[in-house]
Amino acid sequence: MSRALVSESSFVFKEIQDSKRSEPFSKKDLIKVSHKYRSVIHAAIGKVDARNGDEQKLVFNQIEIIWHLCEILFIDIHQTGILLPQLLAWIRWHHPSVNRKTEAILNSSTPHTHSNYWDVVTTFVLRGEVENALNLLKLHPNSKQNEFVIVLELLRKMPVFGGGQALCEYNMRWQAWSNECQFRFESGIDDAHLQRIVGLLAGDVPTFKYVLHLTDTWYHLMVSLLLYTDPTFKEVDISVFAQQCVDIYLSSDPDKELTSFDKILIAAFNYDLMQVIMESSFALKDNWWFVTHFVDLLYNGNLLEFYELVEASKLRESLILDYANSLMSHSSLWLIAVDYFDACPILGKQHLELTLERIPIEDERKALKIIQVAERRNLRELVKSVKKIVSIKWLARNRLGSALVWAIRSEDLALTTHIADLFLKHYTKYRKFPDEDVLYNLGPLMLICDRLIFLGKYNEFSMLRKQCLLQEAGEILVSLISSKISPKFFLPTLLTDSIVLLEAEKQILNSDQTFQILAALEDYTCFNNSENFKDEVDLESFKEKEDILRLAISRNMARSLITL
Amino acid sequence: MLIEYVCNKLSRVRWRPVSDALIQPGFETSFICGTVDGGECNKLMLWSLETSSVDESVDICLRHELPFRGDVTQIIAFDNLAFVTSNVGTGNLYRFSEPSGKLIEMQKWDNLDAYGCTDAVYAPSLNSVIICGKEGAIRIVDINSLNNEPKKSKILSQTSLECIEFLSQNEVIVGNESGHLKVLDLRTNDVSMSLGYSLCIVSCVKKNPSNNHIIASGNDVGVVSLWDLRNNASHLLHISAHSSLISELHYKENENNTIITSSYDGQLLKWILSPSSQFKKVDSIMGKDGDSPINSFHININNDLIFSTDNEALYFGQL
Repeated sequence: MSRALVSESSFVFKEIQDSKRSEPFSKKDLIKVSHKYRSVIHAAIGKVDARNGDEQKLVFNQIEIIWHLCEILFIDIHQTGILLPQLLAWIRWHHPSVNRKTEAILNSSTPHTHSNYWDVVTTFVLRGEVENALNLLKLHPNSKQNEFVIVLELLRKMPVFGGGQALCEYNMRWQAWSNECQFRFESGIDDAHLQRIVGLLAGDVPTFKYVLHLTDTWYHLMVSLLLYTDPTFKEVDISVFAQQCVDIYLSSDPDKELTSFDKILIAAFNYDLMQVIMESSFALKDNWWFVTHFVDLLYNGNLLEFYELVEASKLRESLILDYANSLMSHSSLWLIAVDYFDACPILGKQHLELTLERIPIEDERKALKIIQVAERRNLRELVKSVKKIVSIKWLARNRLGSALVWAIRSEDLALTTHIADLFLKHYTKYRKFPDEDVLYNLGPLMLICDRLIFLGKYNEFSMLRKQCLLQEAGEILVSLISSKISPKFFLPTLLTDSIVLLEAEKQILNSDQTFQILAALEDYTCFNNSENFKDEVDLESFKEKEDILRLAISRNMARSLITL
Repeated sequence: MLIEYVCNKLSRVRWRPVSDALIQPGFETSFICGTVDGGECNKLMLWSLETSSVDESVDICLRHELPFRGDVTQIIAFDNLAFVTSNVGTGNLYRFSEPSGKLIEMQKWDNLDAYGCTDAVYAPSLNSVIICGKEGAIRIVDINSLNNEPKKSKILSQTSLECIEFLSQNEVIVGNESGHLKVLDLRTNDVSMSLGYSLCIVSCVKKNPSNNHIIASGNDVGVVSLWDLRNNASHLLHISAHSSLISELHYKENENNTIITSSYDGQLLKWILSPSSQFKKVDSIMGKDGDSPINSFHININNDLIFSTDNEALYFGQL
């Protein structure tokens, strides 16, 4: 699948979805958007990678032909119901090789002797490009001769429909002209080439069969044949014509078979939209690009209902979901797929959530993009889980700072508590935190969980202590000790910290606060004795400090009694 | 606005700089882009703007591309060179080759940062490139002696360093993942100043081109902040500019009070400030809230603007 096609068409798709309208698209708008899509395909053909491009080019070409035809048949419907001018334009647009050949002929010194001269003239006649055919014929040295003059005159007089002309008037003129052509054809012209051209003008089927190689496809043959047999044919008749031309085409060469591409076109000529959708989604190797975008376009113009497709909105949604899911399989198209999921009102959000979860997160910037997409769509759980994944990734690398930042962002209680514990354990070991920046900027975010409050407050205490603001530091420490939110393993550190304050030159802690510390110490020793505290080393080292602490407590107590 | 569908997510776009010695017709009009999220197929691309001689219409043409390992996180173009960093920790130095219009690799460093480089800046006075990364340290690559091992600072932060700017002869400022801006003295390797006010990711930082002590920074929740580094550092202004991460922030050339920001919220905005660094007015250059993220933009001295969005489009226009 071409990336150019995917990314460029997503712009058009998004434009349709973004134009929030109360009314469905008008015919004019639909045609405009349809043209945009076609130009995207056309541009994508030009960008196909040369290495493995042939097959892809063929697919894109086919899509372009199908889209154009479907536009003519299903969207851009002429008021009079006359299809021929559009079909001729369709043929000309998709068979441009004749232009190259013409150039070669014009560049030669004697154009009429060029091997392709008559083929090109005939092709122009088959495509209804009478002017071009005339100009080429005039280059022939014999163009002043009688036979040439007759043919040139016939070509010049060929009636063209349009310009506010009444249909019946045109029909009359055309009939008269066609009769004259038939008369000339039956009376015969000596020059075989000219005779063949008159045969075409007269709508003589055997002549068409003779130049079958110039109409390389059955649909080209059909349009050319219609041009000279029934130019004002109605939509209802076209499926019969199509079948006839397919038969002519197949019988001309026993090896020829109808491809799935032909079947799609036949379905279109039958005005069987459902069949077109089915065949295209089955046969075209484009990851459902064509059906998705075309059906969505028709849906936005309320045309699916018009063509009596049942459950139109469900059909559209399932196609878009399939397409979006196929985009997700590519590593970097996920953001484009998001726009498609957004266009699905029923299941889009669920699908989006499921697929976003599966995107591998290698980088924080990518994580932030996923988070942004999820946040805008209110997928709160997903946002949290992405942040949690990033946090765990950093935790695995033992980078506690980043791990804590992302854990806090994820608002995950267990994870935040765990990392906050690791911070505190780091502190008990090294007497400093692995990262102070995070703690410094915590602010109201610390309210996420108790352990974080404790961590933040303890950091505040340690900063105040550093700044020698012992009074304020003492208040925080006592409140930390008395509130009992400290994890057990950190209590010895807290209690040890209090020694400095108790022993300070100036009294900092009053008797009440000293009691609180004593109570906590009693609780702690009691707990240790009852619970068989495992960490022997810590216990040992604290045993020594305990005595100092008890001494400090009693001294401070005495001091506070005196000051009382 | 000219738009080119580039079939790649471009993470960085940079005009090729003009130096007086190299002025020649058409020189100014090339720029270099790096891709992101391409799995094994990331690349560097050199584009040029070509003006048609017939109708003076401008066309964006790809001149050269070469494969690159990892997501491109920063491109700095100076003199005739380009230094490119990646999220896998590599740094590559390229030379623009004339007249072939190609990028030629001169040197490659495989392990500039264990977890990935995030930003880099060129220090003209040292002729060095200074790189910061997720490891929390900076590396200094001396362009004069490429074969020397890059100098590494101590770990400055236990969270990723996200952006870096060169302040003066001996100082750089870095922004980190926990909302701090730190001024680092390159001589002593010490942090001489640390500013921060909330737990956010500082995603970009730039100094005012004429007042080196005025610093503008952007973060992941879309706030643009202005700081004055004198007098113990004070913050001058916080504006909630975007609704998502600010991907790039640049001062407009020769206009000290104009800042342009791009964001993951899809907008490219122009901020006009008063001389006293107060907010005056904001203009939208492109996009509306909710559009595809803008990953990068760059403006050259002619006010030519290029920017790239996550839906694989590259835009060119005049500011």
